Amino acid sequence: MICMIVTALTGHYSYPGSVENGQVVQSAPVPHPSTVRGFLEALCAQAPQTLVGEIAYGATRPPRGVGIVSRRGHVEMSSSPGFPGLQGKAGTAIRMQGVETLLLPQYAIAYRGPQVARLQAGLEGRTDVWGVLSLGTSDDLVLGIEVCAAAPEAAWLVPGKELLLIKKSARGYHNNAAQYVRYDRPVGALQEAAWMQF
Amino acid sequence: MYLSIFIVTSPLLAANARGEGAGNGTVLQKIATPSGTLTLLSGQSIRRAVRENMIAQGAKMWRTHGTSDTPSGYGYGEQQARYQTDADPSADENAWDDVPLFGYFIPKGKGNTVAKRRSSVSVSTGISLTPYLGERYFGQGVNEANSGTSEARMMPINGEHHYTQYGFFVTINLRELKARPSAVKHLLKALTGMQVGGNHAAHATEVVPELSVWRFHMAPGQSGFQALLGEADLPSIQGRLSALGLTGQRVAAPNAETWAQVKAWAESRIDAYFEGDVSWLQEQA
Repeated sequence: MICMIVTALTGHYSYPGSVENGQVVQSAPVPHPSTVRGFLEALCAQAPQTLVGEIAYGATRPPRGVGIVSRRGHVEMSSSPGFPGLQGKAGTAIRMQGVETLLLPQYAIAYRGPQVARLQAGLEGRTDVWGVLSLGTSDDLVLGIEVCAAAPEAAWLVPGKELLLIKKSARGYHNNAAQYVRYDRPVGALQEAAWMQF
Repeated sequence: MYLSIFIVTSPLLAANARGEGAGNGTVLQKIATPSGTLTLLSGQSIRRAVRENMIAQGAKMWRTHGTSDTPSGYGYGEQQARYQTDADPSADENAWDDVPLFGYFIPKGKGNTVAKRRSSVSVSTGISLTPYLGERYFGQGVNEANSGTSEARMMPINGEHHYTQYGFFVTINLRELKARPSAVKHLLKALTGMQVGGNHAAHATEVVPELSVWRFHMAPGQSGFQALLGEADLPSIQGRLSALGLTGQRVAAPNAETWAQVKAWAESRIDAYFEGDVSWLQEQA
């Protein structure tokens, strides 16, 4: 097993889909399992959705703040003279939208499986890493990673009812094969039930 | 190898509004924290300013100006073509200065096919060093909503602005940029004198670094800057730097000459790294 505490400057974990023009894209309070898996894949330069093994994660503390950041994104809107690209029908276009953003979130992330050595190499800079590590969108720069000898106390995600999160994302357009799972967030030590299989 | 830079700007009168109003009542982007409301410069707006500076420097850009003649200044549909050249960036990614830095994402219709490259540079959101206490400006201006569809009308406007310093982080994955060294140099040069946010005629929004900490490191997530933000407000960044023992790193003072000196220092290390020499990194440690 390898366990690390990851601190990001900001965090935004949206659900896929378009929103209306000017609306706020809400964030889940914790990253989706598919996001954490993607983070680990970037850390050891592995192709998306190919990391196998078990992942457990949870927030070690609440984020330091929450707010709205504006950025361009795909929004739902109907055609109008100002936006000729839609050619007379409703659809999505690139437009300003608000993005709910968490400030300084921190998570404990544990992994056990066949890629422990490769992740360790990534953490020590001995192997390739895809781009610059972010947890969430590409804006959400990872400021620090601390490797732990043992899993710390955290709000580890376990199967439950509180949160509906994406375990497997639907990559690409017109692909609705995402897998959603409900989780609870009890605070405590890492339980066996917290391990998610990929 | 990574280069992480933490930049504290000189004080500026920020008007990086949320951009969703008609221009007659704008609000800043903010994050609420227990110690006050902090205003933001979004990473997207900083990256746009970096691109504009790179264009002015003569860098070879795949994406060009993000301006158009639509009411909001953004491009849609056919106007979208103005954003980028017609060339396919995936044919030769290293032929451009911006593609290796910022990547690209091109949807190719139905199915799962997209052409993309992950960014090798992360520019974070800029966070104000002091809380926002509710400063507003009042004046007269053109209502955006009317300017494109009928006739431009002068009308009273008001909005929020914030006179403060901002802190933001830039991290560069140098390992991925060996094939295009000029991209790194254009980026480092473009990080000073940025026009971030809008309403430049009424607000001094030029971002100039007043203080910067540069750190080379071999492993991801080891910039050492995590503790800088602390509780997310930065009442005394100088004191905090001293307390963290970071003053041994390169710390720049507030003028272009010093930024140029530090940039030259960093570029000499980057050139050595691209040629396979990292012995200086052990010296720094």
